[in-house]
Amino acid sequence: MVSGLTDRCTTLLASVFVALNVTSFQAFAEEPPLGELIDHHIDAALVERNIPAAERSSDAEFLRRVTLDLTGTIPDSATAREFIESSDPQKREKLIDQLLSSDEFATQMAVVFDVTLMERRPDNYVTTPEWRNYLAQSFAENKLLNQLIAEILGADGVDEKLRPAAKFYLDRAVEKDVLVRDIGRLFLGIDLQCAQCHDHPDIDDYLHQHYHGLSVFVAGSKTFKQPDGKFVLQEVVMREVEFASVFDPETTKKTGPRLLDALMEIPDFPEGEEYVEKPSRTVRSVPKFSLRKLLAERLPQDETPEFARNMANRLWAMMMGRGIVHPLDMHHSANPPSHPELLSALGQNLAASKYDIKSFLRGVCLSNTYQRSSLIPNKAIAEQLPADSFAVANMKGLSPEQLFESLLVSTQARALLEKQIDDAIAEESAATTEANAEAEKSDDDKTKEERNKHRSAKVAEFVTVFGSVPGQPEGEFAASLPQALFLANSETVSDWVPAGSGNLTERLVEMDDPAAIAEELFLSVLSRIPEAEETQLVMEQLGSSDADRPKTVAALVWSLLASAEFRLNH
Amino acid sequence: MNFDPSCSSTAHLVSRRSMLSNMLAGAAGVGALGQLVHPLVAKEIEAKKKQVLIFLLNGGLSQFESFDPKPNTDTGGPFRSISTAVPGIHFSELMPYTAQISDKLAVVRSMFAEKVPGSHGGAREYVVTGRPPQQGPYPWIGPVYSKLLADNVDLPGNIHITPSRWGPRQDAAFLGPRHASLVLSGGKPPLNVDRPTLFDKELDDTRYKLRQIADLRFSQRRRTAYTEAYQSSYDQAAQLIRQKELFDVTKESEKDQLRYGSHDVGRHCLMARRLLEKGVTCVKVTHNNYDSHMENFNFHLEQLGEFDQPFATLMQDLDDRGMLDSTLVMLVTEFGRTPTIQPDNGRDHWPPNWSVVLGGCGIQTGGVLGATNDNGTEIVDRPVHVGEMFHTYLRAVGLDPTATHQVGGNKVPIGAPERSAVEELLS
Repeated sequence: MVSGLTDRCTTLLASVFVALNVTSFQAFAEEPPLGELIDHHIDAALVERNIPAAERSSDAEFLRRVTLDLTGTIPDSATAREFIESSDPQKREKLIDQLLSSDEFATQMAVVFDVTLMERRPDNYVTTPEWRNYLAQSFAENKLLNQLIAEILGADGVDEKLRPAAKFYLDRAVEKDVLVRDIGRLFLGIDLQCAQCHDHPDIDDYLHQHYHGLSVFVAGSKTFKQPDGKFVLQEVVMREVEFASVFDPETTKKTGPRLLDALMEIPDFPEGEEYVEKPSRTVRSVPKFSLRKLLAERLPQDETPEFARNMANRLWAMMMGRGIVHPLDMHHSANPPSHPELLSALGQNLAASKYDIKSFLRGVCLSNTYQRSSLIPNKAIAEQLPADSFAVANMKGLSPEQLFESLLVSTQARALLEKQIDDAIAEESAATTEANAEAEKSDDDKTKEERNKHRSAKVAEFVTVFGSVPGQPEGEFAASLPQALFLANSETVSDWVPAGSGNLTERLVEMDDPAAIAEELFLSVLSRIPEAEETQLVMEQLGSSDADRPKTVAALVWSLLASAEFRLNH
Repeated sequence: MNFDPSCSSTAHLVSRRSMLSNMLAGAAGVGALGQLVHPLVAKEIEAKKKQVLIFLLNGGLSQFESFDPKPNTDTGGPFRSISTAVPGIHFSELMPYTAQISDKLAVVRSMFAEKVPGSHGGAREYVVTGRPPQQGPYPWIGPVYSKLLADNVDLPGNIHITPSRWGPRQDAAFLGPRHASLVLSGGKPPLNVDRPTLFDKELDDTRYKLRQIADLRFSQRRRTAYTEAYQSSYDQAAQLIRQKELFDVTKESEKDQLRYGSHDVGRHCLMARRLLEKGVTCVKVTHNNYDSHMENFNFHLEQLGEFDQPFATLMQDLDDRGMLDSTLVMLVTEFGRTPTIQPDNGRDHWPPNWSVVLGGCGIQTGGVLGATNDNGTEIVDRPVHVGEMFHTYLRAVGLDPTATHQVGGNKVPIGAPERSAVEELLS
């Protein structure tokens, strides 16, 4: 197969990725570690712009942040206490390594990639649990990022093992325009939607031919219903598409498959010999040469530097609360990166590591930039510390999943949740006793599945209230009235607060010393030791009457759960 | 080839994410103190303030069985037309009560939109944002009113009464969650307004106070955009909980409850009256089940049989109270239904022409604008695009649809810039 970077354009997008070429990857071996590299670029810009940087985060702040970012939950009180009290000078580094190798890391990354790639679309042909399992497994075995994306872009849904990877195509119903837009946005960091009908009117870099060149890869693909009822992808032969600007409908142009300016050459088969399986109503059509496979082979590779750049920017944003290019899918010359050299370096680093996501995140976590406090430095004014300077840690809202897990950890309500699930199952089975008697034998699997279903339903409540609109990217933190009402009054949350089943409130009520109660309360909910004034406030509240203590403690627990400090990753 | 000629360059700037700073700014500016509506203040608001009542008939109301009847034609179906309060204007016989108040209405029989998405959701979005949904997301009309008419009011500016369960939607797009619809699913109060039994009144106050103290400490040395928005959401929650009898329609007189009827849409119309009387800026009432691909006639008989009387009653009540002078009423649906009647008596989706009804504030009532041909297959007079109607809805209450929303650093035209208001409808 002949292919190549035939007419890569050097004038338009060049400024952003000029440093990304094969020779620079070789030079990379002598580069300093990623963390130092990040600090070098960020600090140089701070000096240049005369912006003061925040101090290093406290141990408690760092522990909570990195645990949320890498494992999707806050640390429990014992972990928090141990970390804060530890005098090991290497403790942050050790913590990072421990979190990166945990099962929870894989689960958290599965959620992040699910939400990024599927944007909370309703399930269609591949269920979210199947898909998340596939992703989690991939992250657990540290599958290289380019391989993961190649699997997703090359998936046809036929191979059982890789079927979940086809969710990206199948649950978009293999609709060409949706796919072109989302492949551009999510994998290349550019939103070509407005180049669908003409060259982009406002963004000089986005050309009409970019859109249609990308569309060639997926234009021949559509769904096929197998005899067993399962939907998979099939493909008809496609070599090029014709397009004309709406401003000049008479002049039609053609393009073959192209990744932005890189036009791909594709093999030519004699007429009548293009197919392994010819298109028909009853058989899945399979061409000898698949353009989707070509996309999978060529997009997530060094030759398409937009891929590494986009992935580096997205991972950076996940950790730092904001992309170096922001919004994440608006990479173009009129929206330049805040730190162009750093973005190039991050892309190179990711590519040089062969797209090893753990090593990339480890580097980010070790940087001083990531480890800065969210506290505004003394005498500085918040408005003078722009979010894109990374002078101060940018705060992030907890995702619905992070919030759910963190509430469970802080209130120590796992037992209560299990009880809620038991009750729900009992209620259901009371309604269907007969059906149950029969199914009693294959109990274990069934119960597990059922419990998972109920658990997912609880998480789904959080997604409805705190998540983004289906089909749209997760936005920045936005507080709303229904969210406040949910945290204040919903049964789901308020059932976990009052003393019972060994939860936090019960444990605190059983303690005598008010100062110890305050400390355990703050460690459990906010993952830090209370300040003297806060201890004082707790003691005043607990004050006079022992009889009211369970209720008073519950009010204290809730007040911290509902605080901005809990709701935000800071 | 798939293109959209109305894709204008401003649309390209409207990335929801670039607008977030604006959302936060909007969410932050909420007053923390005071009752939601003090009776005297409410009176004052009423005197000055414009309000809006939206009826959304979900599924696609048939124009044939409502406001554009074509009896005795191949497309007209079995129902007769009846005369109305305005000589010369006829409605379907399924709307006898509405016919009696036709003098309070302006009927547009020539609504259309091009390239309407096949889905109900997409078509609905077109109608309530005035823009093709492919360009969106743009804020729905309710959040736009909330933003432009009720930005500094403590009461939720935009309440949606719906028979079905309807989770919180971010229908405010870049205007931010502060202006998103507060949803009364099943016409019930918003979810989670009752405090858990665990906390009595006193302890409830305590927990909110402690929460606020925690936030004050936390926000002292942090960027305030997030923390202010967060505090504001709890202020709104506390106020709403204090005022939850606002949502208790049983507080209305028994006589009124009887007049409006005991079915959902009757109760919901009475609730709408109650909310408008209490000063809520924009109230939307949804009525479902107009998607009559089969049995169109039975469906419309049933649905309009429910809807007709409470709708007319509400219009009359608003008029009697002098509220129609300051309250715009609109009755919209996502598209019309096909002239062709399917073998199973169904009518399918039909975006080439349908009917919309306006009344109240700023509208020239008692007339019909536009016309379709004899059997309703096409528009023959004054086509009116959904984008033009969006401009009209705003002009009617004294707003300028050609002005812009300030979104982050960008200015986004409030109404689609290539459209303008329908002057013939405005008084």
